[in-house]
Amino acid sequence: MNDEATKREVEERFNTVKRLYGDRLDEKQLEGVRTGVETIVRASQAVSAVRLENGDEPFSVFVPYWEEG
Amino acid sequence: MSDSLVFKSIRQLGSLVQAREVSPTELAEVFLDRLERLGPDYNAVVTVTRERALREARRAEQEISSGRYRGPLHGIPYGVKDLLATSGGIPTTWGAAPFRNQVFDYDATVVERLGAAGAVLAAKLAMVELAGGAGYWQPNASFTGPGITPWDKNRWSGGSSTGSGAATGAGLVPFAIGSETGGSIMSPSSNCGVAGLRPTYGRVSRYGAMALSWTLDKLGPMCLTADDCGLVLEAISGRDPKDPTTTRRSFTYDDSDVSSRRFRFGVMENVTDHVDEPTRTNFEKALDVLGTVADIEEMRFSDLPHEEILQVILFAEAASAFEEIVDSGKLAELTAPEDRFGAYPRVTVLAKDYINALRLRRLVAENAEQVMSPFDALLAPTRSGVATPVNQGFRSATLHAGKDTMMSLGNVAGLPAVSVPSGFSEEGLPTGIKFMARAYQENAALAAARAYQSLTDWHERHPPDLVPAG
Repeated sequence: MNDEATKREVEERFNTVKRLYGDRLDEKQLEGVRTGVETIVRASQAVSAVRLENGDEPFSVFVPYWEEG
Repeated sequence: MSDSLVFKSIRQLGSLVQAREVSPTELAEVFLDRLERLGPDYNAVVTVTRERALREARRAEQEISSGRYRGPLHGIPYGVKDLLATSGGIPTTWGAAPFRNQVFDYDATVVERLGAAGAVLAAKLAMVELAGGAGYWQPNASFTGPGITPWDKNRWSGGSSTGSGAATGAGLVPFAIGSETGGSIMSPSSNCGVAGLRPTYGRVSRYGAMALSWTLDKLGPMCLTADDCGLVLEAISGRDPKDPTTTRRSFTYDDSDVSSRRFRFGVMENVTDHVDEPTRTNFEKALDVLGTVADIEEMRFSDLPHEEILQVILFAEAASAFEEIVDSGKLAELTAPEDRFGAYPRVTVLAKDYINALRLRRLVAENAEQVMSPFDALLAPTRSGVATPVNQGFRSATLHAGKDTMMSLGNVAGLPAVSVPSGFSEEGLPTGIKFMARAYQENAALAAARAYQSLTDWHERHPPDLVPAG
């Protein structure tokens, strides 16, 4: 994702937060939110940049519940 | 006699209690007094549990008098990070103003198990609000004030187990319980000059502990010595049906003599690239010391985005864990200005990114097991620097804001680590060295740390103004 695409992604996600919670945040706090969203977008990009095979499963594997004892 | 009980290890105090040279009630009084008198100086304590402590101490005394000695923790006072539930009307505040009156009607499993070992709960200890789960970036992020290291009243003790580190390092309790999601046992252990043990994920039940990130949270001991950490871990570990992530692998502390043992240690390449000068110098000196009992080799992990994997997992799980806190508007009541908005961005983590991070987590864990298998432990500076000033943002204050791969990888893969003091800066601030082992190999990390402590005396040094006269 290039810088322009990253900026768009950050803005789109930031607007989601603003829509949900903007009424309780002031301008300074909203800037902090934007920075936080950018951190998340960049971390997600770094994670997505690693090639995974279709069979690479998540480490948390669902195990059906069975009561002990 | 009372003053000479301070800064003694659990091992030493346990011997005195077993021999009936000191009574649990006397011990409790000594540490309750210090908690009440000195705790406020370090913003280390939320609640001194005097009544409960004296009740548990009297019971321990009766049992020992009648020949029922339970083991090395019997009659030993301790404190817990205030994210562990305690019954009896004692508040469990999570370090956060909106929860300052929160009470539970049960004890966390760790508290139950320490009670079963005969230990005496003396205090609920201060912590960063919500264990840092709202994204704080400076020390003043707790309704009890910024945690202060016993080594310098202008420096931070955290985080986020600030009170657990400070209370242990100041001799207010012989040991404490902390929690770690992304560095919160290791960091205060280093800042406060104490030993800390982050167990393998699932080794210790988290039932009754505030959840920040279900697949990252761990509870562990903070003590004066690595040996003490082994004693406490044995008491608190084990399968708990109330926490389905707990392992069925039992842990028995191996305290056998390490004096004639030869170790093999790994050091990650470039591990000191982003640490400050005193930390690097002390780490290099520690390698020289350890070189007398070990072969030390450079190694490397595969090139994966360890820190980002940790972030995505933590942010996604915290968004769920704190959903009610976020939606209710309680964030606005938190102490740190940045915590009043820091949790909001996390609602934007995408499900596929969280799942991808969990997929990469397997690769991280497999690589760690493969790379670490030849070694007893990996060595690294515990933190990138000495404790930062209490009035300064620690991210901007970090001299070299490089990534801490050992911290990120260790927590993503759920690996155990022990931190012990490695020396001091010229200003008298402690530094730490970390021994990280393969999953379930706490005994390997503990043996290595014990060997280091047998060759050094850093752990026998305590803040001069806190050592009782006489």
